[in-house]
Amino acid sequence: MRKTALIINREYRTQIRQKSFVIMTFLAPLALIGLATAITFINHSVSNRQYVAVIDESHFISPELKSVENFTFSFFDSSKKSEVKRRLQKDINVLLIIPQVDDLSHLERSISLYSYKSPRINLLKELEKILSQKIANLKLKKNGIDSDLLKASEAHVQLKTISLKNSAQQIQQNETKSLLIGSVMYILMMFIIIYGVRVMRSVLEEKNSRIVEIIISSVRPFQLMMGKIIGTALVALTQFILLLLIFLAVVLVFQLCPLSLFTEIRGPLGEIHTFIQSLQSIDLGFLFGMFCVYFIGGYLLFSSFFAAIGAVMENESDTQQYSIIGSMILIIGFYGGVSALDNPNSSMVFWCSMIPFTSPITMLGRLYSGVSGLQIGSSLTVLVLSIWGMIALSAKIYHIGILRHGEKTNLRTLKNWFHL
Amino acid sequence: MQHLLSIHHLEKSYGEKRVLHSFDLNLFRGHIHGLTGPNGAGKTTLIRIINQIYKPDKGYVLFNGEKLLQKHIQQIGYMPEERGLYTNMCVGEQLLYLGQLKGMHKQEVRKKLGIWLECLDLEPWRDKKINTLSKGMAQKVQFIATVLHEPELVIFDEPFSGLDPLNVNLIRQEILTLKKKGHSILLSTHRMESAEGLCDEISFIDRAHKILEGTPVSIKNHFKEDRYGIQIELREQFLWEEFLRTHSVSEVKKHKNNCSFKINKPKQTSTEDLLRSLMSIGNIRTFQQVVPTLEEVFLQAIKNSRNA
Repeated sequence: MRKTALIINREYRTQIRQKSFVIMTFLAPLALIGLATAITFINHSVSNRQYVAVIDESHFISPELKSVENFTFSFFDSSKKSEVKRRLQKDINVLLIIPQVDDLSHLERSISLYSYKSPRINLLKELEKILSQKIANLKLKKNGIDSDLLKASEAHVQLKTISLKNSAQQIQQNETKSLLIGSVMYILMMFIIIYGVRVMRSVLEEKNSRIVEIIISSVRPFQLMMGKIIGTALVALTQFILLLLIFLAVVLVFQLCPLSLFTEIRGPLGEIHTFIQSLQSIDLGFLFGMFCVYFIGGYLLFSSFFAAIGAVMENESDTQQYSIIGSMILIIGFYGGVSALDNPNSSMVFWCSMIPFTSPITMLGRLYSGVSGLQIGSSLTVLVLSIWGMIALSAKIYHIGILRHGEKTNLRTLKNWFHL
Repeated sequence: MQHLLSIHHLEKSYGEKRVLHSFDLNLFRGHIHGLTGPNGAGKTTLIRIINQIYKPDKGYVLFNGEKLLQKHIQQIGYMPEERGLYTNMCVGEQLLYLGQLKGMHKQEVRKKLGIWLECLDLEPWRDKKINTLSKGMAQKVQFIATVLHEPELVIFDEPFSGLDPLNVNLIRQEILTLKKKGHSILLSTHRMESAEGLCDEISFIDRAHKILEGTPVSIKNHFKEDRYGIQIELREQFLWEEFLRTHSVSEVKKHKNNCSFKINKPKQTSTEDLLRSLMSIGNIRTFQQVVPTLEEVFLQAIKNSRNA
């Protein structure tokens, strides 16, 4: 046990000291926050107001057009067309010419937009939307229908979902929760891939540097493999906790600042504030606990598989295909989890949350949908049994593989190894 | 004298391929036992079994009279042929880790580490990373890692490969010092001159079998034939020509009347008769039985074993 602790300690200290760990843990979140802030301020520092000159020869639309938040409409007579076109490079962004038509239905395809440079797509779409609405209103008016009355009669239904199975406890399936769980599932998937592959690289490095024979003349290969896996898992958990602390620090900053500050700065920062406010309704402690349980489970399963692959292969390029296979399986689990947010009880989602290779991620997606304790227990039991089987299999392959050099390994040679 | 290591009827196969067959070996306490044989003979597998990396299919190993167990690992030091260290770790940090893996306490390692680094001129490199060291220096670091915990049994697999003559001599002296201190050493090597000068006993392995064992002198004596090297000052030319015609003579070198050659003595002829014949053709300067080198014995033993 003391020797395994020594291996865990070495693995942990080596990886924590690596530059990639510091960059991934501290600089990447700071860079993300900096980027988001920069984008927000750039967007708000650039004026979005568009000055639109309108020449309405039909006289249908101009009485209906009123300047709104992003658009200032100026109306001109058709005789001033040339003058307005000259001003296009200066104080006017675009020129809208509405021709004279007898029938409103012809108007839809007759309006032209002039600009010196290509107009922004958003501007084009917004103008189309405003004009379509105005023409529709005119059509309704022509047919004797009051558009205000029509708008007042519109209804938007929102269903409250109540699970009878869970003591009539209300299941809160709101956007915040889905976003949070989706993010947690994504982080879980990425952590398993990143750290599983890191175990594989570490095994390969020891194998190729030939130090492994010295080590396993002092400790059992199983101890070395487990020391490596546990050491790397601790690095992952350290990184996750540090990221969580950074996240909580950001939450604290947002909570301490008054809401008015964010409403003044419209856009992403305000949305982040709203998102953080709504997090209070979620049991974050439970989510963190389940994340740790499923991370450890999924990580042990995949990293022992990756350790065996690292022991069998000769160089890093050979291992890539297996990394892709592992990643593909985890991506299936992630999509199972995403489906679970929408339909937590479909048969596909159920099986994904039971099969050990996909269950660590998919089950997280089902956690807040009223999944029974029995199903969580069954999924964890299958996962634990699979981990045991995978570690036993990988340990055997690892034991032999790490001392093999210069020979291609296939299923036949693997079979022979089991006789060693 | 008690054996530190006794190997009895060891059998090991990799699938269909047999790597060790009914293998026996005894290593006396405080002795250096050489292990030699061609590539793939089974030496590394034997060493890995002693290090408990592999398990034998049959047979057993006794260490200090006890069946080899995990606890004995701390009393064995092993320097494999394929050498390696963590390239990004410092010399001191690495040796501290490897020493602790062998069951030593941190303070104990630090104390002995200073002595060894001083002894092998590595003290200035204590805080340097392995990837900044020359190959010879890295090999010295590995030597320290092997003996730091003062094991009763030290196993060296090709300890001199890749070393310059200066470092070969240094490691050789250190091995002899270990022997003087009472450590028992198992030395696997292809370098016969090293084995001859260092080893108390030698075992030759070929194709999973031990084909020969003994002290270097006894092995060479066993293989020596009735072959003599002679230097003579010839008197009668016609008698010399007659001698050549009637005896199996080779490697003849003649300068004026001085002549040197080798002769295989016929079984029916006694040494006295041969000397009498030689005296009749000239004045004998030297008359010496030819003793084969270990390398010649090795090649001959393999040939005999494969023909048998």
